[in-house]
Amino acid sequence: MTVIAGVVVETLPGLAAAVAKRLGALPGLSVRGDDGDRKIAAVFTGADGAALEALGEELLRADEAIVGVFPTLVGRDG
Amino acid sequence: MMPSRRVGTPLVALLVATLLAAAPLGAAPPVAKGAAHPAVDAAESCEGCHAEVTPKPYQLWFDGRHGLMGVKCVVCHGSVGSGFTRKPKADRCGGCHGENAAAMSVPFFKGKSCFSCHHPHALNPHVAAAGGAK
Amino acid sequence: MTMNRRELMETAAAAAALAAIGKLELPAHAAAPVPAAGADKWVKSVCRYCGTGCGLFVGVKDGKVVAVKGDKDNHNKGFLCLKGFLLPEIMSAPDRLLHPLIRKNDKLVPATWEEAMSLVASKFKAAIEKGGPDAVGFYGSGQALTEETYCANKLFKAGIRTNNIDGNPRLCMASAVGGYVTTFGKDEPMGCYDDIDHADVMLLVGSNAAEAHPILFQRIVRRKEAAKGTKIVVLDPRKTPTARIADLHISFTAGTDLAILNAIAHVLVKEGMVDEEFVKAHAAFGEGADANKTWEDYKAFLEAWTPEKAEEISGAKAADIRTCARWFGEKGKASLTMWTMGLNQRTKGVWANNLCHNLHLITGKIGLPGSSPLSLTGQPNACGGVRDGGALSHLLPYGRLVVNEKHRAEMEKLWGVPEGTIQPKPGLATVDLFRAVEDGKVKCLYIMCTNPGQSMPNVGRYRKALRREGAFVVVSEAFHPTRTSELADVVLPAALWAEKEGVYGCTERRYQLLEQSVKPSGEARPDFEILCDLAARLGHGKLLPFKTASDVWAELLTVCKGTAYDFSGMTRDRLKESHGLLWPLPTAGHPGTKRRYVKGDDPLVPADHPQRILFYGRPDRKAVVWLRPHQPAAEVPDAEYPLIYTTGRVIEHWHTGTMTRNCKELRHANAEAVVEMHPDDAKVLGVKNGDLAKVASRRGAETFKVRVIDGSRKGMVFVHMHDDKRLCNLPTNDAVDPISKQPEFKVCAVKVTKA
Repeated sequence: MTVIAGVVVETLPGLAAAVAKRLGALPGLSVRGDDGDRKIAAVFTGADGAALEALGEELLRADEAIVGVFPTLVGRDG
Repeated sequence: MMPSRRVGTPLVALLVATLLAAAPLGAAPPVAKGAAHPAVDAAESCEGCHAEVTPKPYQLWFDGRHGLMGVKCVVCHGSVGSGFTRKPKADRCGGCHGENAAAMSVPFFKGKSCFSCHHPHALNPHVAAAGGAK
Repeated sequence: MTMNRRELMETAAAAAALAAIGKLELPAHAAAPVPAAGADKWVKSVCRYCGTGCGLFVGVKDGKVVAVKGDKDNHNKGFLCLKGFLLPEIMSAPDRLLHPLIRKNDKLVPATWEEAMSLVASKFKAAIEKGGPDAVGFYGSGQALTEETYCANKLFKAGIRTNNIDGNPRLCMASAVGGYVTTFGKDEPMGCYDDIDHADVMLLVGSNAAEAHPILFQRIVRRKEAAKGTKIVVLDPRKTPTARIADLHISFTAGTDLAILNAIAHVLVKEGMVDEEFVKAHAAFGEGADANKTWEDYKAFLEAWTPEKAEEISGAKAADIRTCARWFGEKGKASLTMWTMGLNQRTKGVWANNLCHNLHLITGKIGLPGSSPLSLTGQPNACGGVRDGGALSHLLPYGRLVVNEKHRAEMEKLWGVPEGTIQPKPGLATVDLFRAVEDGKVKCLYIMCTNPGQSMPNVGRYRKALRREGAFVVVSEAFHPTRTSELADVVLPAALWAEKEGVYGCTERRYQLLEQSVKPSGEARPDFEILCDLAARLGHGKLLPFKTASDVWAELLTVCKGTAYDFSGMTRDRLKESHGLLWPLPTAGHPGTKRRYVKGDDPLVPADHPQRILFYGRPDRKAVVWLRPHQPAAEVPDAEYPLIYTTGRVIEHWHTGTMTRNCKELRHANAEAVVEMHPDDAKVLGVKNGDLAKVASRRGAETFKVRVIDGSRKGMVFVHMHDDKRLCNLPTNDAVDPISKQPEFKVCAVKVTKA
């Protein structure tokens, strides 16, 4: 079973592009665009909802420029 | 509506609780399906009564973000009498979550509602269990 | 199939995420976020209710308002509180007044506009002829549009030539104005909502933001969630819903917070948390009305204000006061103070405001992201229309004063009236204005967009005054009956909110345009039109030659130019495009000013100024730290009236409930005012939930149902302020602050008996 989720990552103002670059390197996360200021759109693929939640918490903890991780749409495959 | 626990039992709560007690087992909601909400005392708040007659949904709501922010019962459930909505539709979410509510019309969401993923009373921003919340 | 389904899901997930950041246009059928309501156009506007000033779009179908949605590009990021969400319903409420009314044989009966307006004009003319210009008055509103308030101000001060024009911001924001003016020389906060996103410590004093400013409260919660370690201190006698997020809730006897604020300053000084350099460069010190003291004098003054002394006076714990001061004063942390009516509606309201500013000035925690003293406003246009527009009895537009000869001359020139037209003496402030109606000095009163028959303190007295023999009262109002319109001689049906166009200015110096969405209901007319009509009938048509609200705005851009409020770059077109603009904004291309007085942000501070801040509001270019001792409320409990009485909001209703009670969801939720009390007090009085209790002060009494809540403070009862049937203001005190002339709604003494 896999969870596929649209995710908005909110950053400090003006840092969206820089953070998007860093996020691109993470497994399970595919960056789809940013608003040029403080929001990044990405797609998460992972084992389950808990993995998604864990990633969110990890991002908030590890990256000071990230101020929020918000799933927008969560679906399941399999 | 207050963060503190209420003291005593208001009249209306007693009234509804009595109705509830008379209902057959398993008919948890105080209002019959599709029926209008009974009239209420204007001095009472929805939460004042429902903290006692439907404590579980009340507590989930109160402890969640919507409870903290004061997005109260009427926003989704409407008024009393015929204005009451037992199962709110996504348009009630649209006032604040316009894009998310609009996204519900894409084919992927066919047959689903906001509450398939977000618990209808906790309304947590993260995904709820598969199959939606009960 | 798995691959297809997966692809589909990925596409949908990406689309949802992109849509959420505004990078994806949803298909047209999905763009309307409220499909059930089926709006066929969305018009940009602002919420009608509180001073937060949330941006929204009005959904229109077949010429009717059918929905609203939050504006995600505005400061509220698309969110609305429950009142805002339910706005459409008030537009077509059964209480909407659709035609003028005239009192005949002591009954209000329908009339034509011509009948009503000619009666108003003849009564005003006669009163002025007989008693001079000061025989008439105007009582306006922080809910009227800027253009409307400006027209009234110009008509009365420059046309009729009376300064008897005041407004309900006198009842809510006057002490905040007095605080900003005495400390910084100019009204309005230097901070902004963005400061919430940067604050490490937030001090909420006399503010139940969770119910009074829900969307700002939400922003505070989000800050706390995003930045672990953010501290929230709530100073409020009641354990309000706001206190749910408090790291420290300090309860105290209502009316004693000046002692606590001085004690916080005491700890800041004693424990070395002050910024000596900042104080030296930017602060002056004063007592009474003059900046004639020194830093040393202030420190000596604070000696006596120990946390222990504050505990003795207020009942707050000394240890909590120390904790609060230490959090606030910690070096390197950003501290934000926010307050509302708990401080303003007091006979020492200006002093209480000064004491909040003191904390920021002595620590230098001001004009930096997250550090500011930010007064929260109650009404959507108290700031933009009445305060900034100078529509109070002692003010002229944009920081000018009636008593200042130069200011009068400037306005006379701008208004094209002869020198000496504007009277040099301030007119009557609200309470005095209604007392002048009471004693017959003011014969005609024009009340626009507000409900003093319910909202005045000691309201029984002023309700009688409005029905006094010989008094002629005009009420322009969208609803009837209200507790004021029922007392009127003429009621004019005013267009409501989405039925007209104009500008609102909220708490943070943010101006925003409300575009007209629908036509006025019935025969209703925008107040702007009614005032232009009245001016013409009184022979002052030349002063208000405007065809549209846009014409008024063009004049306003010239009136504000060169003042400390300069927003002359804020053209109508820019307002149309923008989602709110913060002044100063003196040139067409200027982005607006988040933080006032701050170099690099505020265009009125020279770019080469040697320091980061310039308090240009005062001639010495410093802000004043005031030595303000604690003083008790005008009326404190005694043997006969042993309980403290205070009033305030619930989230479902707004002000006198004229609008929110016209929404059935809200009418059925919390509409009836109750008296909340502590279980111990209820026990002593022998009352329980649902019992009726009579609450009586020396001035008046009202009966309420009892709600026993353990978040109440012992010795104090609290009554909701929105009910038109159970008038919370019959007992309240009409004693006023000597500086701001704001009444002390928040503290008086009552006795409570089982009814």
